[in-house]
Amino acid sequence: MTRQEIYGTLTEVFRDVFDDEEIVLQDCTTAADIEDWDSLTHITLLSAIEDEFGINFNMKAVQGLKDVGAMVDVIEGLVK
Amino acid sequence: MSVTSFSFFCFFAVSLIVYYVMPRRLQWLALLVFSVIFFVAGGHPMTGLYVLAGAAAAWGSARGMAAAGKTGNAGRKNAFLLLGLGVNLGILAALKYSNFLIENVNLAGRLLHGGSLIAPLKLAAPLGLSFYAIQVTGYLLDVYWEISEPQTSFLKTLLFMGFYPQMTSGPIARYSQVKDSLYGEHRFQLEKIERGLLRMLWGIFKKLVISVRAGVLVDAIYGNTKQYPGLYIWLAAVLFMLQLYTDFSGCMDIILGAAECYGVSLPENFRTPFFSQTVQEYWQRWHITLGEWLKDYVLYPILRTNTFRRMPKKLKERFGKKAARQIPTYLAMLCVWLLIGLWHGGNWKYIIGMGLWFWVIIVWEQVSAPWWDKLNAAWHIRTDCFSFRFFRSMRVLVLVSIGNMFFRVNGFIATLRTLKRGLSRWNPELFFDGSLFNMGLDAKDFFVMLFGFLVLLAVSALQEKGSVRDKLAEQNLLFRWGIVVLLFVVVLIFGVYGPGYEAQSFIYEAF
Repeated sequence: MTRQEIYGTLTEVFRDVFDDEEIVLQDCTTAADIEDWDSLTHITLLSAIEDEFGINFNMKAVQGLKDVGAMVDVIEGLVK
Repeated sequence: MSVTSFSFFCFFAVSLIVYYVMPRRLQWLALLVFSVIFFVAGGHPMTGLYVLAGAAAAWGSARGMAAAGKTGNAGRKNAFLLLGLGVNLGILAALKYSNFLIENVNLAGRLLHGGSLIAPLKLAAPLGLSFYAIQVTGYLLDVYWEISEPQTSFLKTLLFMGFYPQMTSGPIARYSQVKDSLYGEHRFQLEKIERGLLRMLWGIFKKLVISVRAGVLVDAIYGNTKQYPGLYIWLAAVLFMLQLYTDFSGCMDIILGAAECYGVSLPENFRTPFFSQTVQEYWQRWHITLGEWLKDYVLYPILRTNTFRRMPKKLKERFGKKAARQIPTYLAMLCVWLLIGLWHGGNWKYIIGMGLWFWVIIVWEQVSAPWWDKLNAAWHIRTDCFSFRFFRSMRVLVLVSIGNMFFRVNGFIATLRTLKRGLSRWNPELFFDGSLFNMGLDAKDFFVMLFGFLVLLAVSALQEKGSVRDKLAEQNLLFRWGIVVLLFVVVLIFGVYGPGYEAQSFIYEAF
């Protein structure tokens, strides 16, 4: 899966979780850029990503994924 | 040894000289020796055996987990984790919560048979047990999850658990946050000492000029709510928040400032909480390290369990997509809030007042937020102006002060009675007829407290825009040291202390 493809799927997941069709993701996108992305919705988001990509984040990733760029890096490593 | 006592400052000064005179590679060892001296001076030296047992278990199990992880032996790794957690949390549970359990067993027994069944235990807990036990729990989980490497030295593990400025009241640090500065080599830098001392002085100002005075009024009112009903009680509720904040955050300033003088960086525990717009935000700015700890080591692991992960799918049809995602989160939050209550003490007043109350408020805030947004839009209420933000901060203040009433008043029923008395009379005349000066504080002391509060407010407003000490650091040496001397003189003149006087213990030291 290419990085671009990951971005496409990830954007859909974000739009679905946060009920916002206008979300556009970049490497530097963080919780501060998306309304409702807080420490509580963070886990819901990660679970939705895991289901969508068929992967499992470990706790190190769960606690460390603070921006979309880091998220895509980890997904890229796991889906290969 | 209170960190506002004269003996502490003598101890601190001597330790600082020794620390910078000795070879740098041994500085961490000096910190360990100072920590042992501080612990022994704090009374109940034999309770140090609990600390040693906890550190030995943490050291051994962390190394065991790492070794088992390398060979891929998951069962052995789990066993080591259970050993480390079992010893440390077992000591915490036995020393802090066994009497709570006994009380409840006896209560059930009285209801069924009548009479007490088990006598309460008299157990002495080591200083700061609740803080270091959960700090080391976080360390063990980090090693288990391979977020941190294990510490190979037993003495360094012991220092991580018992670094003396931090041991009694936190902040609760993660191993990865502090290991480099705690075990590292530090050369003497006057600027670092200056910054640390300024922060310590600011903490002492908060404690001795504001908190102690606010405490006098709080004690007078809560000590006799029959004599002081109505608005007196709400005044006490607000003053207790001021007392608690200046006490706890003042204590943190002293601890973080002292650690800074040694070159050790500890995480921040407060970020001007009273400017919060919601109760949830308040808890993200108040006792930050406890909240972060609970999020990383309790909330996230609960939400990652299969039960919680499957829940949204099961609930989706019945409650809709959004609610199906929110309900598991709220249930996991309930566990967190019950733990916050329990952490404050083995007593139902903490579990209900500091736990359930805040959970209910935060869930309500989240559920009702869209309704308020619609209402504000329909009524054309501006939400981006000072007056609206002020209103929201005041709302937070009232809600938090009710929760804190459970913290302060002795007993759950007594708190309900106090709340009832608070609503029993409307007596605004107390603010104008001099009654305020007849509760242990004369007019001079009252206005000193008020002046202290205004200074605190001004500094907090500046802190919202960035670090005040960073701004001071840009000034000339004379100005910077002028501020240090001024703060010292203000504490000297207006601080509540004297010959033989020992400032009251910090409220959170009791945990």
